[in-house]
Amino acid sequence: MSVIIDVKTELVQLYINNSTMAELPDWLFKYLNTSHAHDELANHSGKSPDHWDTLFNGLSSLTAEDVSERAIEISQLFQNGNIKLDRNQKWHFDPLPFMFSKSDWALLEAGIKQRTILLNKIQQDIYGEQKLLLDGHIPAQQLFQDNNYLREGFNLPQNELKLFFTALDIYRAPSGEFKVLVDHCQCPLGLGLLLESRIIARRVMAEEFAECNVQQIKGFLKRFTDAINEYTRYMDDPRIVILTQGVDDPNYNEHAFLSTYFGYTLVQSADLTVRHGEVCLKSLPGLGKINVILRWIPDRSIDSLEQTEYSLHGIPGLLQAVREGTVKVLNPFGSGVLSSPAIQCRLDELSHHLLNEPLLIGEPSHYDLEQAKNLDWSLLELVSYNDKHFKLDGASEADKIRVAINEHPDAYFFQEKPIFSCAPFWSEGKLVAKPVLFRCYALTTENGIEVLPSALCFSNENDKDPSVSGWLKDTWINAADNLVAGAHNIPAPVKKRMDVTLLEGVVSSRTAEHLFWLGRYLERSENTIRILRIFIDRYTELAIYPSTMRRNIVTRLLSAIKSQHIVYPYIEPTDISDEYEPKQAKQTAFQLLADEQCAGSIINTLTYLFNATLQIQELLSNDSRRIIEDINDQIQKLKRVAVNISARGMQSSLDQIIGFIMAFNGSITDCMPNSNGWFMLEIGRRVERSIQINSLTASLLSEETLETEELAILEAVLSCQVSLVTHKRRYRMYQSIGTGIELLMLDAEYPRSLLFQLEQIDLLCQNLPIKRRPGVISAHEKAILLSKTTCYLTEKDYLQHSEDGQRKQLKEFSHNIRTNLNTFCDVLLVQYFSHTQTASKLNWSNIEQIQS
Amino acid sequence: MKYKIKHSTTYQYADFVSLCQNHARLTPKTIRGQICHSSRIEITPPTSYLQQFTDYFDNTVTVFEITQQHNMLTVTMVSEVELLVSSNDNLNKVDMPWTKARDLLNKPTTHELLKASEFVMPSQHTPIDEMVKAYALVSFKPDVSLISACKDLMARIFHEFLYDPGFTTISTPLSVVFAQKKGVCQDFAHFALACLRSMGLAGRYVSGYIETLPPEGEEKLEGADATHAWFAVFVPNFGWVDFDPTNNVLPKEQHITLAFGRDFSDVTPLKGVVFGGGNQLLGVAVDMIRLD
Repeated sequence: MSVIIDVKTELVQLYINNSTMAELPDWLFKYLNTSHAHDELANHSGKSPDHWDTLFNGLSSLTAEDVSERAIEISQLFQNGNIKLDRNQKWHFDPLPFMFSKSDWALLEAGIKQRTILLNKIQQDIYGEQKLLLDGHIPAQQLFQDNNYLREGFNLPQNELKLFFTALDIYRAPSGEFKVLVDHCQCPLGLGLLLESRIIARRVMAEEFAECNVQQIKGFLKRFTDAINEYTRYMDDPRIVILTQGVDDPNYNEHAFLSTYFGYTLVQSADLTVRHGEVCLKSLPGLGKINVILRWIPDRSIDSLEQTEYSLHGIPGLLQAVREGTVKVLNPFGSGVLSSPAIQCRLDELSHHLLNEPLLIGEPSHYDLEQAKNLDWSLLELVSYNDKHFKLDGASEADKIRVAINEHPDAYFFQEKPIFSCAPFWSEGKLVAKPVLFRCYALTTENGIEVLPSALCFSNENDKDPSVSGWLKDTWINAADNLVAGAHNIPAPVKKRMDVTLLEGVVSSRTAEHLFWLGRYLERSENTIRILRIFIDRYTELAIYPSTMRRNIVTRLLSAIKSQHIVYPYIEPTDISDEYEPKQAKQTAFQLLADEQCAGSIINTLTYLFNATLQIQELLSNDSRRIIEDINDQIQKLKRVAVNISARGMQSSLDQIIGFIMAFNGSITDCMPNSNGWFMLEIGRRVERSIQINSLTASLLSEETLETEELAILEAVLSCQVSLVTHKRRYRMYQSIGTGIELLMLDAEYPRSLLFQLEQIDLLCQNLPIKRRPGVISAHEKAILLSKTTCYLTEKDYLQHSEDGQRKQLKEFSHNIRTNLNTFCDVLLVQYFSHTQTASKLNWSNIEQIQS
Repeated sequence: MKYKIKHSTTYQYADFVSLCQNHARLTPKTIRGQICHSSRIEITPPTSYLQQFTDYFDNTVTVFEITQQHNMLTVTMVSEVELLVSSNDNLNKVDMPWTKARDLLNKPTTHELLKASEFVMPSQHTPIDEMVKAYALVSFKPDVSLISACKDLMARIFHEFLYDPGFTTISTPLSVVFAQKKGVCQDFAHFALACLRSMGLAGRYVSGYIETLPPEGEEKLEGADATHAWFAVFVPNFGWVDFDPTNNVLPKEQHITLAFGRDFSDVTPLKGVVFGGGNQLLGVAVDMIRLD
């Protein structure tokens, strides 16, 4: 492919002259040939940047179509890797990585290290001796007014002040210098995103990855866990948790991803409680002590007892536990103050003072009001010492600035407007320039500061497409020289540590409960789909071959569905049941499929199912997550289903959904270690199935009619329970309601029978921690034992027996079973899931009056 | 003068409480002019965890937890406190123009000034606006001394505000107190603090007890004493000086100090988190008995 063009820009010339490439690919040529003021590909003082060369060499054989294909592949992988809560917000992950030159990275690494050391020192002084305040390096009044200056942070042990994992946003100014926009010292976000994008980049760009000799980030992640293990060095069974606000947190996906990646239990505030000055996890076996909390919730409202700012996400008593030294909170409490403008704009001075050296990477230049008088405001913006989010543009908001500085001259200062450099992003078949920021990460360890050898290169530039929240690139750093250096950098382990991976994962009661419900929803959706299938089949058959018997059967099924006897909530039939006209059949089928007003509709059950999977997202494999995403697509489709959908349309929709549910079931069968509480899912599934079988037989088989009609209705029931073929085989000679009941309810060895489910529940309950005295059995065990015994002791003829056309004994039997199952669930809830109780605040609301 | 103080707080709940965690700031301080000889906290039902720590403002905080199911909680603090007779004669020597105090606080050079400068900032219960500032300026005229100005402010609040129990609660905004000129001791303390801080001066909220004397010839009723609140102003090179705007006096021998803070929210005598409980009924009784 050749490009004929007369005038080549300087930049193109550079790349051609210096490159080993015979020719630039068309798409790259076009990008270089349009001028970009402040571009990462150009900003190298007249030399062609080698680091980009290697990459483009690797990519030179690709056509624009090839790159687009990669972009599509990436977006599929990226979108599917995580369950998205808000489908309108996603990152656009670019097929081209960002390349840092060796010299740039060396500078950045040194700068980040220096800055992290500095921030550590400041944190220790502020929550300690406060020398920096006393000698005026940090104006006390500005700091005292900052919401992140936490007075509760005093009186904590001194060793609670060390930072752990921090991030900073860096950009390249037009001068070529790097500058820091902001430090994130509390809950640095984006590590999950970075990990995920690295995994995808390595897969999609495997060859280029190898050619560019990209530094691995594994070592950093290893040291991340090592550093945590350092804190739990002397413990036998350290418990480490990641604390998240929960599914409502916009970054919940990332928390779940990190939990999966590091293998730490993901918990929410309500899962934790403080007892006797120790933080405990409410787990199935009871309260378990927690040693380390990686918090991803802000510290201003982390303890709803001690702190004034009340939050549902607070853990009452947490600070007392920190004070007692029984738990380690990372990042340390109070570190949010380091992002305060009162500190940020004085870091250079502080670096001279505390480290005796100039700051390697500074902030945007800033000026006090006096200095700014003679400056051109259009290049500046006004910011506040007290409010991080306050900003007024020097060009467009000059009037507002005058008012603001007139009112509170001490509250503001000017800083230069940051101008970011641009990097090429692939968009609609070509490269476009977008301003970029680099989020870099640092880890404070016992052996010094570690810098993550990569960065999250992102652009927040507003896009035409509102569904894109930002653009993102993997960042590559050449490893060539670091291999040797890195080798002896790694400190030998101080002492032999216990293999932490051998320890069982802990599951919170909340997770266990969600697993229980997930099992129930999985089974419920499957069952409802089968009932709907049979129902559609029977009423369409009636339309083709009308007969009294078929009409009666459709009426029976319709009534049982409409009265919610055989679908959730499985109301027990009364003696006088409503009768419905078969002409309502089609409408009822639609309601059961897609009506959100109908409690047991498939759309509702799938929605519950989806929400339950979000809650246990961190326990799922990537493949399972992908299927969940598909199920969510089906929910969205069901929302758009029209009332007059054809029977065929419904059937095909049901086929798809059941396919995904089977696939999901398959994807989780292998990840069933009991330590993760997966047996709760199985209990939920078996309980739901027991209720279904019980309801189905009681409401459809308890009325005696003509034998042929009875057998036809039995056939429908057996089909709903996928037992038709077995029944036919087993009872070749003679089939009756009695044989059907025997197979579905009383056969202890038939996997779809009620008794089999009860036996399984009994077995699974052995995984539950024992909460009773030896020698007695607990209430939930009693309920199951009673049901089992009833099944074993009951004969099929007894249940089949009818009086005045009613099988009263069958009804009674089924009622007893149902009562026992309800008891079982209630006891389970009270004994094992009683984490839902929430705290209320007790305050001495008014001071007593004096009698003066 | 020695006092024995018994301060009981009782919560009665409609439902059972399964767990409660609490912070109590009920230990009298030992500071200039006051010695806390002993203090003992009694809690029923028995606690499963009981610890103390010193908070940012040097108040003693008792942390406790009750895991036993209960529908009534009683917290009683019994303490013996001695008030030393201190004369305020020294005050005149350390007094200075209030503008000088303001300037010193603005650029703190000593640790004392630095700590005090924190109390110049408005807080949750003491917001500052132009109206408050205008009210304060009447007392804080140029060249007036700090102590005289504070005395004047205290006297004005005493005369112009009506003591009206039941008019306000802790959530009544200061602007309502100011507009209606009504409230109780903590409202007056908050208002005075807002005035001081609007002038760039350091003021702190003081919670404590005040002794009440029965009318001539009558027996003192049990539980008739009360918790009280007033304010203190920081006098550079000297320290904090108390003013009680509810009674228009400089506290001397009848005021016992429990805790300091920027406002009420820093010194809440008893706060907690309960699980369960439902509706609650609160009862407080304070007895302050002279021992000699």
